[in-house]
Amino acid sequence: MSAPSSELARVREILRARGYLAPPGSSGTRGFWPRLAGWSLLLAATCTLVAVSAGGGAAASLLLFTLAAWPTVAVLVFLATRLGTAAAARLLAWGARPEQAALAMGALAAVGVALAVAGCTGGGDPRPPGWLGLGAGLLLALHVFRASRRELLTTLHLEEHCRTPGPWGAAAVVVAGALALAWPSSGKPQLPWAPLSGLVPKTRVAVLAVDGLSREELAAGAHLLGGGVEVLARLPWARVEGADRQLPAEFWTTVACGAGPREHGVAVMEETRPFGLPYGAALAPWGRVLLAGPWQWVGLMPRLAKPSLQRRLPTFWEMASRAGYPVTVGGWWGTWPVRLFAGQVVSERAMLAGATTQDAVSPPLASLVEESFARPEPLPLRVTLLGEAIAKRAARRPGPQLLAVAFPGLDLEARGAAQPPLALAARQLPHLAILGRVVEGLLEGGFQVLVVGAGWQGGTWFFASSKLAAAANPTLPPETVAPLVLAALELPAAPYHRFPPGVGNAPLGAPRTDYGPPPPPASLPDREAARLQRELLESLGYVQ
Amino acid sequence: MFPGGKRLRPRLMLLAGQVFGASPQALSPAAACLELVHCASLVLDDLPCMDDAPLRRGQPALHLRFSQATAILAAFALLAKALAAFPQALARAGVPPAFCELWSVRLAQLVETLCRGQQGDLGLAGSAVTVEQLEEVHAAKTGAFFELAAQLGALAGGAGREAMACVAAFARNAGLAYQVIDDVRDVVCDPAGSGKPQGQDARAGKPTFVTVLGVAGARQLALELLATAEASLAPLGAAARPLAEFLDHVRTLL
Repeated sequence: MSAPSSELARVREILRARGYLAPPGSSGTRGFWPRLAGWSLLLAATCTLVAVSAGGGAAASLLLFTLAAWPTVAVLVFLATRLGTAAAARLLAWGARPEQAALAMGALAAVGVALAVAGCTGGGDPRPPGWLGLGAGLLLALHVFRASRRELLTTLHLEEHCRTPGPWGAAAVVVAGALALAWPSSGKPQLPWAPLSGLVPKTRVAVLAVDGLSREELAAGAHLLGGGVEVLARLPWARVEGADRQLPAEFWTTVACGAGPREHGVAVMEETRPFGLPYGAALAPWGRVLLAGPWQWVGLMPRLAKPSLQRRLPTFWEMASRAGYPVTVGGWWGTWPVRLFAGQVVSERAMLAGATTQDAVSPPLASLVEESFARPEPLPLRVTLLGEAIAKRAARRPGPQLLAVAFPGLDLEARGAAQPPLALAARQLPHLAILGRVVEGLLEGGFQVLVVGAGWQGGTWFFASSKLAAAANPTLPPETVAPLVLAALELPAAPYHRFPPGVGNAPLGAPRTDYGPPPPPASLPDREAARLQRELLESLGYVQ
Repeated sequence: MFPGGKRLRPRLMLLAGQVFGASPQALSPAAACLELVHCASLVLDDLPCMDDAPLRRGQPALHLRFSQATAILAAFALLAKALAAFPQALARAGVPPAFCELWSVRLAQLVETLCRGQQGDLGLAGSAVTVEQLEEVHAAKTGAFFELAAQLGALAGGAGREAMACVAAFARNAGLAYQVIDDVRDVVCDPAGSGKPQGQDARAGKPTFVTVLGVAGARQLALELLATAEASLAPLGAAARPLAEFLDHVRTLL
């Protein structure tokens, strides 16, 4: 009896498929280090995905962040593995059953992964890609749970107590990650500015954005100073709510665009840029430890101020400009870099740092910035005086126009070195006096004055306007300020704007106009400018 | 128990333990438990309702020497003794306490696997069979036992995860090789050498690897499986020499 060699070959093939005729090395068992490398790479990629998508970073930075984070995550995973094994041994010594120990270690590993991933979101309210990334992270945590349990059981030679994890877990992570990346994040494209037909400028409106001014401080200032401050305090006002946990750039862009951070896209003030890339991602503290790790200490992944390039909606001054209004903007948060539209802008970079480059200030206003920064006063006062100079310059121009100017001086005083309340009040009084002068000047110039006060250090946030109903002090969200400004300009609101019920002249059913996307930046800020701006923001206490 | 037989399973356990430095004296009680289980399975296999074998280890099968009832009871007694003594035997062998209970459960599971294998073996008689079915029966009847024996020895010696995988691959291939050799010996060996009647499988109409591949093909397959088992020991280096010698012994049966 002899079998044909083909029959023997067939039997060999069948037995090979069933785990015979192959030594263990060739049957797919991977060693510890390849497994460690694989898992840490997957974890680094998921954390990066969550951090970048939650922070609105560029997808192109994903790969670099992942590679940068890989060594740190690998070390952490290695330590966790060793600690987990030691903890499991301890549990076994205390009498736990191996299956229980493996279950506990698997659960701990999953919680660790979930915390690491969640830490990378920054605890904010991530956009849809961020949620998808978070979903990918949770799937990864589940996968890690199963794999860790299996790993430990295999280490304990109890493989038969667990099933080999199927490929679905990793596949789901990949699919969720791909969806997060593919999610349309850029919104409308940024197109060159063009005027809209059919809209006619009619009024003179000034919008004052006062950081650090609460309703209570305004009332106290009015009592002490009278004049323009008292006029300001007597304006009908509404309580602004729901913005106190936002960053200044986020809040003031919400006010300017008439839509929340999810829609306008400006939610951070700084970002971590890997290896000289022109873009990066805003990382939460834990995300920075995990992803930037040691690279940031050697300067390869610096934290830089984030220019507001990611804004997806036009501001009310850009809308007014398209309607033909001459526009002047001063120091409003989120105006850096200056955009290409028919208006003049002093960005927050120019107002706070005196920068006069093209990305920081419109050329006609550069001299104002230079003059202000040549003054001997301390920075907060200099900033307020610059705001006054911008307002004065605008007020001199006749005819309909829009002025939007920020006064962060009060807030800068409060963010400075700790001082007794009375001393702080004394330092803030000159700012209020200047603000009063500005209001008086604007009123004399025929401006309708609207004021938003953001009490960052406490107190009531408010929006004041002569057009508000004077009876009760209603509450309105910050998104409703922009349509009210447009109403003051006698311009239609944008389709996505909403008016708070019972506030001002809410034109129900009034026509809406699509003002299009925001205009493109006049020039891109360079890395040095971003570095200097971040240092400034840190020194002023806006970022940690 | 005492006519001997080849004592492959306990020997495998002791040799695996030796590779990793476990004391043979400490391992002996656990190895004896394995042999008790194996003997019980042989007594049951030989019953008329199963393989109906007249000879075992060169002597009349137990049910012929005494009675079927006695044979069945003896098999149960052997199993009970083995399962009862095993946890303590493991502890004495130096197996960590956390594992003793679990590996005792594994021995009980092995008994269940042996039953499944025997049931599969009975189902093979007189039917067309696939290689997959043959492998399943052999893996359940012999491979699982070899794996458990070798892994227990390694575990008692403190083998690591990768070494354990080597030992398991070694035992899996060696177990199937041994079964294929057993198929060959059923055709070519005289009862004096094998201790079993010749042509027993053919008389029962049981398909074997010889049926599928012929004697030469089955021999060739057995040699390849043994070579794979030997190659599985390579990562363990020279320390694995006792297990390689075990393979040499199995090779001599061909």
